[in-house]
Amino acid sequence: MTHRILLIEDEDDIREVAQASLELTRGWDVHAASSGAQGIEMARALQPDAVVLDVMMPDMDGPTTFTELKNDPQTSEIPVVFLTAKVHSSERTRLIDMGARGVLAKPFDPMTLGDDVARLLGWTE
Amino acid sequence: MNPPSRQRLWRFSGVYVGLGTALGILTAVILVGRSTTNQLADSVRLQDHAYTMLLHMESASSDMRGMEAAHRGFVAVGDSHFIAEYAIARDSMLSSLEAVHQQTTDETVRGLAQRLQTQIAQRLAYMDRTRELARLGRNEEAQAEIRVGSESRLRSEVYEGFGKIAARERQIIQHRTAAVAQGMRTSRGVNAAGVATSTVLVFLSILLFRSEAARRRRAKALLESSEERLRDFLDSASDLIQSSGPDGRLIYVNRALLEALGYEEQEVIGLPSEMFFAPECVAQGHALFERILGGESVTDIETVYIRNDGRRIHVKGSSNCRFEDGKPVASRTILHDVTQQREVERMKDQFVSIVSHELRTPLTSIRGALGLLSGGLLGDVSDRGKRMLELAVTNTDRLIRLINDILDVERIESGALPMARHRVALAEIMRHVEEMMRPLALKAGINLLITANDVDLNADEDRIVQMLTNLVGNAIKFSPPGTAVHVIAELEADCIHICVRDEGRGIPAHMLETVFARFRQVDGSDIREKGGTGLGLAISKSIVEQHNGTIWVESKTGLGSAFHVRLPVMTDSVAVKLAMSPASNPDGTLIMVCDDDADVRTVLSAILTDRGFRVSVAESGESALKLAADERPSLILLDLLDTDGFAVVDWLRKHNRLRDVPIMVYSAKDVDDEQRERLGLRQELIFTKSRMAPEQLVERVAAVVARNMDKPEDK
Repeated sequence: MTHRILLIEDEDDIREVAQASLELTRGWDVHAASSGAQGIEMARALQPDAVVLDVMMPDMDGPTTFTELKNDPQTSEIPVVFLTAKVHSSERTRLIDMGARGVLAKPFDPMTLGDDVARLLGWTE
Repeated sequence: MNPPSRQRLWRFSGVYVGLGTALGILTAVILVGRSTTNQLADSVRLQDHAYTMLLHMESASSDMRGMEAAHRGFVAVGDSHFIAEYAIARDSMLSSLEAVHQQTTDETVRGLAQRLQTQIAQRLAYMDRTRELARLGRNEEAQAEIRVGSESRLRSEVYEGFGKIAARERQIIQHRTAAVAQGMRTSRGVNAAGVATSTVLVFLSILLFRSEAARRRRAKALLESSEERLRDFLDSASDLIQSSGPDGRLIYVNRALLEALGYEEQEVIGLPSEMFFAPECVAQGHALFERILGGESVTDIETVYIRNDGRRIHVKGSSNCRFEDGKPVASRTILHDVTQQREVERMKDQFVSIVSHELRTPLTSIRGALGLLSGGLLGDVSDRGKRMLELAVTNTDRLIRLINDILDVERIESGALPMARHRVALAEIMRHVEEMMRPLALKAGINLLITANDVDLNADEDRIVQMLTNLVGNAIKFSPPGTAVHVIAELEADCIHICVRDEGRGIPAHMLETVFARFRQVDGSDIREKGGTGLGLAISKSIVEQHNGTIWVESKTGLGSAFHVRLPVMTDSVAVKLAMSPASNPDGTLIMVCDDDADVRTVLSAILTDRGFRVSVAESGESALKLAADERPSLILLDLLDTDGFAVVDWLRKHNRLRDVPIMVYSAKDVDDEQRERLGLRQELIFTKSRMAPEQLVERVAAVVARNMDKPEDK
């Protein structure tokens, strides 16, 4: 089954690489948003199977975007995996405690990024 | 004893000896004076007595002559008038003689007087006889009788007796006069000696007093000048120094502190020292003052002072109190202004954060693009091209590791990365290390042998794993293929001693000391060849030290190295762990622990993991429901979370897939019958934390799971 993924990442280059990685390694249907606000709009419209969300973004950061998604009944059930350059375990714990399904570190290995997301979401196929 | 106090003691004894001597001399003068006066009085009395005796003698002698004249007159004329005169003179003479005999104190005089009395009695008898002849008219016979030689001899003997007594009395008078003169001389001598000695003593006392006064003046001057010097010294110090009395009022504030706070000395002295504290730090200031008044020496003061103009300064330092006779006298506080340091730290943190983000962002793109290319996902690349891409990926990874390590070492050493310590089983840490290192060991052809130990540490699990993977990674990197790397954990009293031993090339003796410093690899080429950053051991050392542990290395070139780490363990875990025989649970049955207390979650997880269970944890009812739905655990261990737990149980009971999952309640409070009915649980599935240790609880969990396994699972 082809999963539909929404990638929210403000850095164009990273967004492009991550999108290519998820599409090419897993064959997922990846949609990309360049800001939290755009991501929320797209999440409502696309109803993706999962959101891969950057933590540090201008205007609306990852955790705020996450809260918005969780507070909206239309998007509250969509699982979210964070992508962050902050590697502290305290930061990881904070995000998990908020209800994230997992936290992945940047820089990531594009060959295994999709596998890691799938593992965190419990997608075994 | 130091010289000044010895001198003071000498002065004291001088004064006392002087005073004692003066008193002694005064007593002696008084005693000698009294004795001399008594002697003089005695002498005068004896002299008077002698004069009286002499007068008696002269009177007796004169009476004798009057008596003789009356006697002769009667014998010659026969006039009875002479008889009367005779009788008067005789009685007077006898009375004087008797007085001398009775009153004299001189034995010689008494003897002479006695003899004289006898002679006078003979003479009176003779004179009586002559007068009788005359009264009978026998005048011729009486005249003849008077002329007889014997009478004449007796008469001269009597006068001679008078003379002898008078002479003796005169001699006595002369003797006494000499004694009085001698007494007077002695008295004068003693007086003169007393006056002289007293004068000398008074003179010496004055000298001593003057010298003492001079000494006090000098000491005072010295004290004043040393106070002045001390004040000058303190005022020239760049540290911020202050002192308060036991009432907390300022008694001294040095120049640096006055300048740092923008006050003049007269504006602060006598005022409570709390005026310096920022409002939110006043309570801290009071607590601090109480501690030092209690005799504590506080060395970790960190607080905020507020300047006269309202600006804030961060200060760090130490404080204690001076006591005299057990009573607090003055606080002594020395602080440094760390405002600038704080600002630098803040900027450094900001810098680290920016670097963390700004360097990672382009690296993420580079690493991603290279990864996609070298992974062949974007089309075929020539073999040489692939080789170049692999090279680029390897070096990008190295750069990422280096950035991570630099950030780590900066943060750990500056304390910006606090260790998130909690109870964690060493076995769990070792399992992580093994998981992470096993692939590397396999690739390098190294036999990785890990022996864990069943104890708990109070540690930041991630950091301890990071430290051990550093050590194990190094051991693998520097070992030739076909050798072994041993990781051995041994319990030593209240510490765990972990040794990571390899059979590699070892470390030269001169490097053993510096191997933990930054960028100190044994061979400079290692950084390139082994892909290290040169920071791993520095980070490991920082992590161990932040956990109050020690790290060291033993090595011989060519014989391999052994890195040793000693970390404190949670002592309560030692006995329990040693007593428990971990029952293996190869199926890895999943147990869900739902408790809002992080410590309880950690302890139960550790024990369940040791027993071979898989564990998932939830800290609230809500997350428990979500996890249970996702994971369908074999048993749920539930805290009642005040009342939330009841809702969880209700929800589980209504859920198709979860209604048969066994629930055990592990509650902080006792569960009463009514609550038990609401939960619909048997008594043996409800436990109170204070009555049931986690280890015992896990035994019950294991028993319930084992019983449940035998039953067919309700799908």
